[in-house]
Amino acid sequence: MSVSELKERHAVATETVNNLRDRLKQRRLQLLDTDVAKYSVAQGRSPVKFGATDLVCCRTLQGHTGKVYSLDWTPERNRIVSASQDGRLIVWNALTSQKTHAIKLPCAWVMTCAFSPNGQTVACGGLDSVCSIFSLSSTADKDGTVPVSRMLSGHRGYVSCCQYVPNEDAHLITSSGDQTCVLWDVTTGLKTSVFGGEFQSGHTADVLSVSISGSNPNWFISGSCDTTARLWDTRAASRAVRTFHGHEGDVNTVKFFPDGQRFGTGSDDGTCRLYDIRTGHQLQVYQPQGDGENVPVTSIAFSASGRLLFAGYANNNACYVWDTLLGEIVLDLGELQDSHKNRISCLGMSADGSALCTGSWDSNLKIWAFGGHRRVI
Amino acid sequence: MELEDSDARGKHRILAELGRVEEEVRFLEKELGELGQTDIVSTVCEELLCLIEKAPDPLLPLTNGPLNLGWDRWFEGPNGGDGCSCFIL
Repeated sequence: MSVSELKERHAVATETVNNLRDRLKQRRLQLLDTDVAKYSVAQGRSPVKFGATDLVCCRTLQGHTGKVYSLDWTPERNRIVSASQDGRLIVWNALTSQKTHAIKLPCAWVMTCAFSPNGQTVACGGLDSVCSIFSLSSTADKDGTVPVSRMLSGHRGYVSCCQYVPNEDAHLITSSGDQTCVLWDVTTGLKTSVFGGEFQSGHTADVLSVSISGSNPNWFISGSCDTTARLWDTRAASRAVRTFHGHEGDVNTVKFFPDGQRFGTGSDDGTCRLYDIRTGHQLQVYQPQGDGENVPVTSIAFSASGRLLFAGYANNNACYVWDTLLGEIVLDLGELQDSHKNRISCLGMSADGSALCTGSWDSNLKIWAFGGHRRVI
Repeated sequence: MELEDSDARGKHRILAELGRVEEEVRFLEKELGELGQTDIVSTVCEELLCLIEKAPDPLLPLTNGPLNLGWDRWFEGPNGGDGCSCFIL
């Protein structure tokens, strides 16, 4: 076939793809007979009611000297690692507020950090396009410099997010400005699989966030500047299992729902959304009311049952607490006593769901827990 | 010779692109077919409501059990940090 015949065939196929995408969109709309909020109201549910002193800031972790960009809890409850514009990782005991490690990074432009499942190593990445691994049993020099125990090199763009595969200290997944996600073998430093990229169907713009399923660690979700979220199976890297449309701006953050069968997203379009993995449906849009411009969502976290969705926004210090069933904001952590003084850039729920950690451009981390009267059914 | 080489590379690239687009067509047709057997949203909502209301949640004022005493460790005893001066009346 000649080049011009090939080009013609390509144009026809592209037209077919666009038509199919439209038909899919229309067919999905027909299946959207309701959303979670309308359904819950119809079932007689009412919003969660918080008393004025129910959710409280019970710790402020001070020590960074620049904006906090990322944080991660250990699986065994009380320790947190945070990454900051000050070029350091700090490891905290959140219960005692003590710093156990303050690691000066070789590259100060860090964007993400993660704790390994066994709590013995931390990973970070950023504008150097590398994911660096540090052992917490290494000794730091007086400057806080700790030798890098492994460098995961190969991305051709910044590392936006990293997460260890649950229960696997040897594997972690990164997302990157080079439009790919990578599954790494930390022991060898080599790529096990690449998701997306030039020769595979994947994201068509920077990937900003990943979240790995707790109930099925072969699955992970990625969120991208191409406005989509994609579900990947690590056993089949050649193409995404499913692509989730709906957002109208960069998808900055993705997080699996506690049951591992749904996930949430937060976007530059000002909304958070809840999607179902099995059916591919968009179940709910969480959009603040008001005439103002849509304020980008920076980060999200679900409470242990999934009833609450915490969302940080790129204005002031807002952290809305959404009732996921009723689709309403039931609290703003930014209006509580001892709230952050600047935007919340990252959020994380402790493993047992008893505490939320927020990280902010005000250089602090805060721990929020339920201090009111709890009624048990 | 150089022009022929670049022509060959150009053709190879278009062929690869064509392959990807035609594969996309196949996947989209499959997805469209699967949608015909997919549950409507209200079915998923029913499942979700049940799930959320059964699970214990330390951050809710009203929650299913079992209670875990560890949930309140953030308010117990002396701690090394500043800031926590709340108490339960």
